[in-house]
Amino acid sequence: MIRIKTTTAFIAAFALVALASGCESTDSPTTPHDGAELYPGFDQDGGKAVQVDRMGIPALNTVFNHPSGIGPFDKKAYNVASPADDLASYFDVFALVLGVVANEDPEGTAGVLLPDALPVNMGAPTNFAMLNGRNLADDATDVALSVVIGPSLDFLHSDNVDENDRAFRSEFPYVAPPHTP
Amino acid sequence: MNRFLLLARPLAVVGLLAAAGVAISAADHADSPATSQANLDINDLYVFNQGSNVVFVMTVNPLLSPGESTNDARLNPNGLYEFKLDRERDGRADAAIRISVRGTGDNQTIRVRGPGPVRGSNGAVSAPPLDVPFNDIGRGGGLKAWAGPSDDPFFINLFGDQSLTSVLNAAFGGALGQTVGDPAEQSLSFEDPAVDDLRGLNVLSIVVEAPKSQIADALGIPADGTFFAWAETSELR
Repeated sequence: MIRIKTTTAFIAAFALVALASGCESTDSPTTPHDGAELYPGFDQDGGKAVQVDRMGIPALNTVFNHPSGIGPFDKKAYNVASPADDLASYFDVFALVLGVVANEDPEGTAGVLLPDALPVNMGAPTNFAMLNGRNLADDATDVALSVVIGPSLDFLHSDNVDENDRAFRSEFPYVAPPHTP
Repeated sequence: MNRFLLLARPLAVVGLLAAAGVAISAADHADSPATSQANLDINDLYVFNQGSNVVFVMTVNPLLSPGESTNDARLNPNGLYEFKLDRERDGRADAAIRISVRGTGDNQTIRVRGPGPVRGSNGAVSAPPLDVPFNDIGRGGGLKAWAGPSDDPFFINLFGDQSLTSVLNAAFGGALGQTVGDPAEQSLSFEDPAVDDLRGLNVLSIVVEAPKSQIADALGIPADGTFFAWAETSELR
């Protein structure tokens, strides 16, 4: 029950964010991807910076990129794509997959999740379940499972691992020290 | 839809696998980036408010064992690591924090630029750079920056007979002949309680803490405003 509420809050929060930022349009910008832009000091040898990976909202990066590589589910293509092209390239696939896992609003949820960029409201507490940033300790797997998979399959809404194996630091750089042998 | 109906429908099975792939890629570890360089393979992105600052964390180089593998791991000297910041949620970056890398081994340093506009007068991040030795904390221009080995902050029930692997195989193995991990692990359920299968493993982390005021200025938004972020790696070729 808590998870369903979380899912609803997550989507509602994102819808508000989306409205506030005027991003209801589903057009598909086609400008060149700025990931390939160079900046002084990087282009030392006259080469080009070629994008090789990207990640925004945790859990989405390879939603549709499973081992079989069936159809449009191409892992590498997603990783080198620009978020500016996500709605055009991935909206239909996201909606399809969301539909078959009994998501109650496949198109709405796909529109919430794309383009694949993590919303960060600097004036509100960070909480991935509200789709506002992501804390180190946030249970991204459970949130993702709950958002994507419909309530009729709620026995798959948690992987039952709720916290990291090592405590995070309260001071910069916050991540926990590496494990030693 | 109940679980039996789900298993009876190949399309649903594809969907379930993809949804479970969500969780695997929440840890996005070894998710087939367009490079053979593990130190350009993004695992996770975290962005959180910290007082008057925002903290950006990108983890790369998945599944490092403690000891030599971890001690020898460095960022890619031909790599560019970026936190991209988008004002309108149009998927196009309006500002960025950019980390380039110089040197290898004990001589590696990172150079942090930004947060600054992507399209400045010369199309470049304009803030003065902050140079920091690998695994040292650097401070300057209001920023804190560090890159080095850490525990993998991600946690997940990924392996075993009631795990994401088993869920994948139970759903997908029969219908489409696709399995992951150990094909013998098949169950459409998660063990409870379960263990973190990334326990004891390390990654390389890049952490940059920047004042909200600088981010706001770079984006042209209020200091309590909203932006949209992603992590991106590029390779100089």
